[in-house]
Amino acid sequence: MRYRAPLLLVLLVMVPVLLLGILGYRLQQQEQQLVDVQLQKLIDQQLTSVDAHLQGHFRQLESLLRQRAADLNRLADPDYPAEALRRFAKDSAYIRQLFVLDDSGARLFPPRAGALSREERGLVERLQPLWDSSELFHPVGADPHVANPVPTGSGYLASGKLQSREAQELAVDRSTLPDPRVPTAAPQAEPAVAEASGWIAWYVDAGLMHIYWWRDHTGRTLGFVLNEARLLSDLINRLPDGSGGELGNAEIRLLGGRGELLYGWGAYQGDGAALRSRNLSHPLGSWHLEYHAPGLQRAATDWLDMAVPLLLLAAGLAGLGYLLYREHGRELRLAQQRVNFVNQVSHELKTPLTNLRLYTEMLQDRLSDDSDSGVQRYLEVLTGESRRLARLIDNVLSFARVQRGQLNIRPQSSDPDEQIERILQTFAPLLLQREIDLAFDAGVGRELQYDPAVLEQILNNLLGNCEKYAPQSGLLRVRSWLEGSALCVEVQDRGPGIAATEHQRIFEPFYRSSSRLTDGVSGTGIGLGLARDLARAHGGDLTLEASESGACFTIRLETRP
Amino acid sequence: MNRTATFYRWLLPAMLLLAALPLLARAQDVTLDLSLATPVMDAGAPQKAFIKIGLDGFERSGLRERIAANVAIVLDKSGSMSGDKIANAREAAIMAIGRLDERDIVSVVTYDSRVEVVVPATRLLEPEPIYRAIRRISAGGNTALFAGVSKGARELRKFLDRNQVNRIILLSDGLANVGPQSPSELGRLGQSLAREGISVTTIGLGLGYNEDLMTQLAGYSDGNHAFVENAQDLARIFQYEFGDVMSVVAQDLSIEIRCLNGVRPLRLLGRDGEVIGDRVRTRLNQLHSAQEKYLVLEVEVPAQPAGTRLELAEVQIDYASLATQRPARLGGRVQASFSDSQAEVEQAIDRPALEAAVEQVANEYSREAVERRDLGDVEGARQILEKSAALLGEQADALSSPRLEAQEQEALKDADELSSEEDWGRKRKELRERQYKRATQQTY
Repeated sequence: MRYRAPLLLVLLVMVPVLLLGILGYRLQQQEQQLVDVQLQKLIDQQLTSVDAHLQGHFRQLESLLRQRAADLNRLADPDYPAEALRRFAKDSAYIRQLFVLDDSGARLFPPRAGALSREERGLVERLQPLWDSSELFHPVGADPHVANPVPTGSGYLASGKLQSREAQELAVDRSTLPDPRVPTAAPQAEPAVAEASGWIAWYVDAGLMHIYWWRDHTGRTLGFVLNEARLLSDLINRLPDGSGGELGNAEIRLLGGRGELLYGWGAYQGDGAALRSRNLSHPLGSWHLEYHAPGLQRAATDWLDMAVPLLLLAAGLAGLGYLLYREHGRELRLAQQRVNFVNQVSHELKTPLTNLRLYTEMLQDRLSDDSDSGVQRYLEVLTGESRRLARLIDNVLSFARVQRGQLNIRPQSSDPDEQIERILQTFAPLLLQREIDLAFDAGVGRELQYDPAVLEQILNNLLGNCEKYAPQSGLLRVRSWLEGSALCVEVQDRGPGIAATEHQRIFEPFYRSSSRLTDGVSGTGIGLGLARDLARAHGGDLTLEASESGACFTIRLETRP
Repeated sequence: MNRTATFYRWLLPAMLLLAALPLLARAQDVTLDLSLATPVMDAGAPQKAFIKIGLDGFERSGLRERIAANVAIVLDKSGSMSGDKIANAREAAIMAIGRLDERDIVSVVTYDSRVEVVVPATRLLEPEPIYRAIRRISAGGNTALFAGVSKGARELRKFLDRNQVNRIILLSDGLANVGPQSPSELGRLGQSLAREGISVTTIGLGLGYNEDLMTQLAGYSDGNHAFVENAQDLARIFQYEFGDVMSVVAQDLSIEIRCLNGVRPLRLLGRDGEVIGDRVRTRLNQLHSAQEKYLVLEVEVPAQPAGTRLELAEVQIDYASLATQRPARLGGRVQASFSDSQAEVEQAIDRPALEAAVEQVANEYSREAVERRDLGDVEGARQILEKSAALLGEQADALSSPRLEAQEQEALKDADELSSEEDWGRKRKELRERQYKRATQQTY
């Protein structure tokens, strides 16, 4: 109980801070996710455009080689002249070697008969497995056909056409080129067999070979084996230099089939995992692009951004809470001091009052014989008022005890009917003055184990209220009965009653129902509340019963066997 | 009678050889000089012979101004270049560019992990901004050599013209570690560039670079190669290189040799060539004024009876003359006669041709020795060099050639220095450079 106020204050500070913190964190996470998604999209776009750019090179190369193939085809009479093919291979900067297959996939060039150069012999050795799987020299749509047909350690193979997807920057290039998807209509009318062509990526001896093949109208296949170093050099030349201006603080890396770095550009240089990776399109299918950028620093500063206002808020709330707590503590101490003072005073009043009552009663006894009615009446008033004062002081002291939790119930054997009769008699003169008639309906008729002081104090309060708030109301009915082990006493007046809305609040301490009834009537406001607390301390209750007229209270006290 | 017969016997081939010289040699900027090391051969047995194909370039003074150059300087600025090296490289490049004028086109590319085009291909009208850009170059990072050369080539292509000298000058002091890094891959790139008329000169600085890669790249594109141990020498080498660039008279020489009458080509000494059956093809990227370049072809000649004359080979050269800016062609045939007389054979020896052949054979030995040494066989390598020295010594005496004698001394010295483990890195670079220069008759 002592720590309730600080605990509440801590909660007051922590709950909003935590809530804000969680909300802020969630918000930030969502934002981060959104940013991440957007970033990923952006990166993807960037990588895709790089890929498209590289594809552009293959398109250009394709159109160039197609022309060369057509030129060579014009020289064929009907066989391709080996001399011209050799000269072509020797003079071309892009091509390393050439081969020609007939319609059944058998090699025509390099010639089967006749001497070959060292280079040509090497070519034949490496490409024989490829020529054996001649089904690869057929167009297979946009998706490259990837297979692993050769058992002799030559790893990887992909064959197919270039992707038909066009990037915008290629539009210029492409407008001048024949569309690779549509077989070109050659200048002279060609017979039935349509031209076909495609790219093959062929891994052999841990090296990649790119081959462009083209089929002439008689079904012979011309194969151009690219100079790989030149191909890479040209691809690198298509990519940005150095810090690559638009890229910002990031890096894009071009990696080869074994994951080796081929080229990189961008201002950022660091190790660590790639933010994004993308495989290139056929025929560079085994290569990929990686996007590297610093990722973690920004999150750290954001975290700080969020923590600082939260900390400030927590500090502010804590300061405010501390001030409130101090104020509250001071008021609590002041109230305590006042209560102590009232208790002290009440105690101090009690002794003289007891003496006063004692001597008044002794005087009454002494004067009872001399029946001077005037003196008798004055004495009765004196007795009545001193009793009222005693009740008031009892109330104050009991209230203080209830508040401190020091209320003790002292059950003793007593006849409630008798006790009620006696109490009513002491009230009778007062009530009579207020024109209230008393009727007691005794229904217990035997001794019970209970605390008569409690019953007396409750009845005193109820009867005192009747006297105060229900003058000239006629009959005041008091009834007592036994309900199981509970002693029940009902007090019903014919006064103005209590409004339904007030039924609960009248029991609250210091509450005084503010209606015209209470105007001009003095009171402490602790009576009913105290009465109920006493009843409850006695294991019973004090309840306000519904009644047609006036107020009806029922006291219920648990008795001991 | 016998004397005159002999005289005629070898006069005729000599006449034929002279006749093989182009008739309009004076009007040409290139002359072809075909010679056989042994114009008279032993009869009755198959034997080897060396054919020397010599090409002389000379300037035709007053006819035209010198040929314009299109040069891309590709500088390594990786971390290992920091300090003196990069400073010397900057100064060497600036000094070399100072020799060019407004006819020429210059670009500067640097590379570390990234490639930076410092000066895009520009006509050299205003050199100051270019110098300023070069002075700003500082070192740091990795070595993306392949990409550097690629971007250098891209700059050259912006003004590519077969009628000017198109050259990449690559300076590197370290191993390529970004992108392709094997000598063969770089060689292929060089091959492709050569077919466009671009040659790559490689300058290896210090002891850290890969000499195989650098010589292959230069070799396939027929550029020059130099090993520069001290950065202070860079300026000198750049001067030589630019002098070389500016003295080119013919480019794009394609050489085709057809062996006749059952003669079989064995190998082309020093140079890379394509041998298909009886045909040998090779090419030279350029020919300089006042300089002879030659090829030596080793052939096997079938046995012939004494007294016969035999045509061994037919040679055809196609090239682009920079003076006339037109394609030109030279051709000739090589003949030999056969004799039983040893004296006659010896008397007929063509000394310059044999000297060249021996020089190239010894050079091949030297290459072989390096390969053997790479396998860890120091003793075998030394034996090869000693064999080479013996051959050189014998021929030097026979031909009384001081050049061969010097080469013999070199071979002996090499054999001595072969075993030193800690000095091998430097020695190997030195050998590779010397072999390369000897094989290509580099001007410096």
